[in-house]
Amino acid sequence: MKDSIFLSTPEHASLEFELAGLGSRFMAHAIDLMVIGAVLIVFWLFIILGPLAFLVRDALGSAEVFGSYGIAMMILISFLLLWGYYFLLEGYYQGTTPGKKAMGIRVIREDGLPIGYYEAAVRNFVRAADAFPPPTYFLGGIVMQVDSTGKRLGDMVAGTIVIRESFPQAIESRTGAAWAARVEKGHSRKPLSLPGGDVTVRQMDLIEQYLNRRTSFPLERRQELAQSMAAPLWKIAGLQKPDETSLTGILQRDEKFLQHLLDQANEDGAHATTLQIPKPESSFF
Amino acid sequence: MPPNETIETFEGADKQAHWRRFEEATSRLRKRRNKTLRDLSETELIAFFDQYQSITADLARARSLGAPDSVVDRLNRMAVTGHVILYGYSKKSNPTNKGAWWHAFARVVRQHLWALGLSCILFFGTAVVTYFSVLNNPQLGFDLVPDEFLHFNPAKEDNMHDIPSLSRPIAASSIMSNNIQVSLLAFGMGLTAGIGTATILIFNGMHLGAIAGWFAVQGNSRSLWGWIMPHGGVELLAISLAGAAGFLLARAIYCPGQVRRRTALKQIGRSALVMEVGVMVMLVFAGLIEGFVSPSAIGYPARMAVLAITLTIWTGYFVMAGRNEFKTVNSE
Repeated sequence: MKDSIFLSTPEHASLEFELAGLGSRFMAHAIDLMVIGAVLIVFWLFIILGPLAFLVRDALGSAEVFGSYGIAMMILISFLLLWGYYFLLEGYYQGTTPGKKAMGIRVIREDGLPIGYYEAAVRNFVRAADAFPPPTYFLGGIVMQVDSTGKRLGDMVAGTIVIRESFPQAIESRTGAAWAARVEKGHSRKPLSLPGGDVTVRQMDLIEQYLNRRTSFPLERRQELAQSMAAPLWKIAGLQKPDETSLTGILQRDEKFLQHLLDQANEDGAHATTLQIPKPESSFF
Repeated sequence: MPPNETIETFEGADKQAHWRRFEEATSRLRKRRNKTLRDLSETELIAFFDQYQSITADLARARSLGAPDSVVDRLNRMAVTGHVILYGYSKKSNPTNKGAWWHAFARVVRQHLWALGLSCILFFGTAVVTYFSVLNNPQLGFDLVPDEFLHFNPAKEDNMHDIPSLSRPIAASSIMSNNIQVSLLAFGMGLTAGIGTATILIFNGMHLGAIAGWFAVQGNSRSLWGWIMPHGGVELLAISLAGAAGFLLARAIYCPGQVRRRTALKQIGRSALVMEVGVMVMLVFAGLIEGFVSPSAIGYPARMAVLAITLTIWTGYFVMAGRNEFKTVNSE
């Protein structure tokens, strides 16, 4: 199963969709089951013990009639909830359920468009095969792992895929914001000329991304990255590395150097984080 | 793309403003689902499409120029939203899908009679074989008949019809939901290449045949058939049809024809779903009869009449409904 897929539109644009994995789909299902269970318990209490039962009993003067119709109703409601929950919610909310919303995933059609009641019905009414042997979802899970777009059997018949809709962007958006700020002001980044040669725009972007994300790396990985980025640049800059013996010293030295180069490249020194990229909508549709 | 374009120069200050305008336009449009594009005037519509196209172009360039992920992601989102607004809410017109909606079930059943035939052979075939096996060797009954029927010994002929009227709603609803559940299993298990569907049909046929044989051995046949008759015809037909819907899916796995198996599955999906939904409707009717008519005290002839009427209505529906619609188009 791939991480993401690209779909072509009639305009030859290719849209990227990140596929939802087994884990988040399983969690979404678990949450939905809890919702179903909670609703059922509330209904049962309401009808059997709750105010409604007393009300009807007083009105009809007979608890038995209500009891039998009440139980009949409960059997029907339980059945409708179990088989209709996914169908109705996915159909109405265009591919999400409370569980899917919580996990930030959504069912869409293979062509990138929202699903309707037809797709919702097909993919959920053949659930028996995916859940086989019930309730393990063993067959569906295997098929999902083998299929390149993570489809379970129901998805294949309905022609749907499950995608991730919202994912954390905090780390990346700082780089994006800096970039957008430069664009906004009409500044363009130019290659940085140093005595030993040029530092390309791509390299500068990379340095910027590293500096913005550095605290998210494990320390060893951070040292490794800083060193491998800085080493050739020290040469190009024609500078002598200050001697450092401790590992943290080396790291600080390299990062300070990278920051220095970046500030130079940004001309006005705008290490802009002031401009906020508007927070993207949390859903596609 | 101009030769020296870099990630910085392909953007101007106005680009940002342009993107923001598009985002505002889409968030306004998508709040109102179906009415979105219809509300726009012609010029607005064209302008929106132009905006959308330039967003998709920006997306492609941002990718090829290696813009930061957050920018690519933002453009990707905008393009997806625009794509959905432009294409998502149009009704697909399907020329072969004309005719009254309630004819669809009958048409699908007529088109795929082989599936119904296969399903009936497995279901009723097993039932008949089991019936005669139990008749010839009553010991088998102890293995095959469910416990609640095993020691059920009706004292009088009408005993089985005699469910107290208070528990009839419960009987009706639990029978109905149980039958529909079985039909959904038979349908869905078609995706196990029909193996699951066949297993369900065979086991249900075995139960039916074994119970019938057991009652015959004890000389209580009349009371069993009296009970089953009013609802049984429709119910058993519906279960066979659910099996048929499963076999439609299975056929796409065994003989996909000129297309890939998954394409074949997608193509047959609509017909199979129509069949399954029709089955559920049949089972709701059958369940109501089973809950309220079968347990009542009406006599044998009345029961037979109910059976005859329900079967005639459904058979008539399958044979007649939508028969004259697009005779020439029917290719399958």
